Amino acid sequence: MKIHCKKKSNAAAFLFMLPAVIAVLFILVYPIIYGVCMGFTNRLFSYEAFSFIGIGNFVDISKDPLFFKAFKNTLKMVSCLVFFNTLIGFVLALLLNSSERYIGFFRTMFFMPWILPSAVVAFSFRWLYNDYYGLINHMLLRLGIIEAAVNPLAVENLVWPGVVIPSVWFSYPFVMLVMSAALKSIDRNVIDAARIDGASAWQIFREITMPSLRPTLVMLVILQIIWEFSSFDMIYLLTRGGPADSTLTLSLYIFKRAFEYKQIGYACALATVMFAVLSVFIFIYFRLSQRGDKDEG
Amino acid sequence: MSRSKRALLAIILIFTMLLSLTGCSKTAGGVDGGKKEEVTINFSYPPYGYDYEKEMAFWEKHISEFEKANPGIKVEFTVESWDNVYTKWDQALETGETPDLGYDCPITAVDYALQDKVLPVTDLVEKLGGAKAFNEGMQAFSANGEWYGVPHGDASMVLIYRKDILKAAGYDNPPATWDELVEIAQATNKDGVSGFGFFTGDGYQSSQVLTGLMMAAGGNMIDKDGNVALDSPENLKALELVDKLYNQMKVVPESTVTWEHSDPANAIGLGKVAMSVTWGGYGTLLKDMFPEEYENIGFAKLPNGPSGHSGSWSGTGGFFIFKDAKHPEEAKKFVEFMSKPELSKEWAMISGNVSPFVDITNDPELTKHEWYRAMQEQSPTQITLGWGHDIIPGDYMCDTYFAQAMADVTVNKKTPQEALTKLHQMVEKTIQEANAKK
Amino acid sequence: MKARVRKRGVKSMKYAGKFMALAAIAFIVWLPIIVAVVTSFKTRSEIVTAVPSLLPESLNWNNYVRLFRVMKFGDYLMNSALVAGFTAVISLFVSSLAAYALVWLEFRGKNAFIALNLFVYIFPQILLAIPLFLMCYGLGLLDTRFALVLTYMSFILPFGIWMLKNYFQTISRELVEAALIDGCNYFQCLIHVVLPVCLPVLATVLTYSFVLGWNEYMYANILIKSDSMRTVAIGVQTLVGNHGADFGLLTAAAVVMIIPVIIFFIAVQRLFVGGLTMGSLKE
Repeated sequence: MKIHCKKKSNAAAFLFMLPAVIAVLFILVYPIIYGVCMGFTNRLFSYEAFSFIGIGNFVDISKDPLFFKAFKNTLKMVSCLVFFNTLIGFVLALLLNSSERYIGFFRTMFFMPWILPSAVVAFSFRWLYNDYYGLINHMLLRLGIIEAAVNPLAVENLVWPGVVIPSVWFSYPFVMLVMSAALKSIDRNVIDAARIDGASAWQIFREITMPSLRPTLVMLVILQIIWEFSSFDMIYLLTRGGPADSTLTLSLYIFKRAFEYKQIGYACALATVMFAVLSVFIFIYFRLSQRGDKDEG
Repeated sequence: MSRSKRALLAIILIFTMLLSLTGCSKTAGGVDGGKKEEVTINFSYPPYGYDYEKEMAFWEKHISEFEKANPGIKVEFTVESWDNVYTKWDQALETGETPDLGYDCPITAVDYALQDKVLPVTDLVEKLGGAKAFNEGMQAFSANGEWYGVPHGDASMVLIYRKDILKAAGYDNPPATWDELVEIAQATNKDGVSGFGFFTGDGYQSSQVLTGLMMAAGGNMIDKDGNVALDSPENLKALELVDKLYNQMKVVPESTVTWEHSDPANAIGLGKVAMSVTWGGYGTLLKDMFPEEYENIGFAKLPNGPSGHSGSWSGTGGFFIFKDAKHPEEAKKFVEFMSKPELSKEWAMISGNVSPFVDITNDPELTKHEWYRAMQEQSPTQITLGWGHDIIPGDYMCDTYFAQAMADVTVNKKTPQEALTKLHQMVEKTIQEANAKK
Repeated sequence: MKARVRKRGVKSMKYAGKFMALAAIAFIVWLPIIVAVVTSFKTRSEIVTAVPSLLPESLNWNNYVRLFRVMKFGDYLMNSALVAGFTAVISLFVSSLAAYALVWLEFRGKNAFIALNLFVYIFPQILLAIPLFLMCYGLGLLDTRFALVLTYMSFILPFGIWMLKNYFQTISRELVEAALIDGCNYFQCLIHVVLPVCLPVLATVLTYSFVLGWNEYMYANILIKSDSMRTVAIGVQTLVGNHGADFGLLTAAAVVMIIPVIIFFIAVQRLFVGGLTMGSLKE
């Protein structure tokens, strides 16, 4: 019986995994390998002829001040975004984790920002921020809080908050969504039992809720770090790299190099560096989590 | 086991359903469905006008007229987005599945031609009257004795200004020279109004402003021998002017770093800026945008620089035919149809561009508009990258370096000479690389 | 007696307080959306004016009328619905299959697959566009909705699989084994036993997939050539890069674009509330 099931198990495993494997290979095998290989060439956009230049691009990258600036900016942005997204998403998910009648309505309301196309989000904020016809400046001037209209996207001191706010606004709903689902998965019986035993809300949160949410939280943070690293839409639409490259992130820099400077080879090399950095990160995470599993197991 | 098989069947079923979705799409894909004699030409068009609705109405109306007059020919009209039109065209070229017709400025058409990706249309241009039938600036569509684009709309950046603000400062006329520009900018820069606003960030629009200034200063991008000639005293004057206006006199608003597209027109309409640089075509929108102010808004040719003449970036649009076009002859027919005098006149008004035909361009119905006259006057001094010489491979890739030079002087606080030297080096390197690939 | 009344009073105050807090947050969150919606009803001169106001002078439906005149927005909506719908359903299906296999079936290469999955996300999407285009061309998939569904699915899977896998791991093994003993069939087990317990997670993956399929424009722009195959995301994008910057038209398009997604999300809401909590077998 056992051997029979093992065979079925292998066959089933194959069938079950097949579509997913195909899809992943679809993206991974040709496109990414193509991209990485391009990094070793000096290909220019729309010119077919190109030659392999070995590690030439990578040497240039190590001497490129903009690369380091972009990298620093990316780290800054990723940490800001992941922190605020997770905080706000988590808090809102907690607030929404009850069963009052109006909760469903608010859940839809809070989820809205994510549904908007990024172009419209960027447009709305640019309109709000504008120093000539924007609402925010108008209000602040009227209330006497500021003396002259200022467009935060044009000023280096203000551009980071100016960019982080729309980005967080746009992406916290995802965290909220995932945390909501995770909260729902916590067994109510356990919580009720604890409450009957006289545990306070804080104790329940600390001893029951948080531990069961930990895997989800960790997964969310990892995914967000990876996503925000390559995120490009919002910054491009808001500042295109910001006054004096102050909001230039790595993915934006890659875009510029590829489509504005037309240096596809160099851009692919940059992408490969980013790929390598994140690979190391993923590798370290998996090593740590495996070791963690071994400890618990 | 049979149930797992059923699962597999379900998966296969779903995939075949999807494939049938693709099947439905193929016939609509603009490929000849095997119908006898019916030919479909693909026309790929990025929006060259300012009023999307009117533009679309124009094309649709005349496309159906053309189809009626030419039974057996259909035109599939695809509007592209400026954000990715070049990516699309380049990818299409890589696979050989290109549209028949494209539409863009001279530098695109000629650059493609130099890479042998676009067909010559000299015969069509001759049919329409030859080079002398077109405005001077339209020659940009030709290279090495052949024409590669058929001009359709002549456009340049011009000066846009507030008549009332200038008058209040004591000036009845817009600046005719750089000295006057500086003077008026200074005089009008008060009470919440900035003297002169223009694109100062590192987007491509800044490169358009800077190249115009360089031309007006008497500089070239490429000299007659084909060498990059950017690091010259003339071009330096252009960057020095920017430095003076932005850093020393501070008559340029800080927010210009974020300006895009219609922001100069907006700034003028709102009275926040006394003068600016933008496409004359915005003249067609002013009544809608600023119903109360539009009479105070004026257009003029850009002021003359130290060279004694003006200079402006060319936004001229024209048709070009891809080399892999399936139906080039029918495409040419369509272009000929769209180049009829009445249509040219109509297009000028709708698109906010000047008619490229010498015979039509002075039509009183067109020249009665100030924005039109300003662009007309500007037309002979319009340039594209590579100015000073024929367009050569790699020119169009240098857009970003000019924009960078502008940003270097304004926000990055570099000296004009530093910015210029860097610009020269980057452009030289790019052109070398592009030419090495021939 | 008095104590109980007081408790009830305090509770209803907490109720009201929470409601007020949520309402305030909702207002702040909705401000930019209100800006976008309201702009769609404004005339050109109202959008760019020295004295901006939130509300338009009158409810001007002109932009919406023009929108459908100016582009084949109806066709685009249909295409988007097909693409997003199929993407959502198929992604969920494939993700749950893979997650099931990863959690309860034994085979080699599990960890390798999980790690490989994440690699899909770490190469910038913009550069993948060119090779993806060439690949689709080679497979004859250009200009088809299927190509989009396949592409989107590839990007959703890592998230979907990871999400479902995490959740499946919290389901008790005994429950699964009990089902299996009744007939050694994994597929039925998945459909009838595992999934019904996971409704909130299913809703999450469905929503994520649908929104991605609906809003995504970069690959849609690249893989779709003809106008009749375009999705709404491309339609809106075409309006963004326009000289005239017709904000009214753009926001009208955006409003039309998000309504189906809101409807989808409301429909899926119920799955969040549902979900049998048979998560653990406490015998």
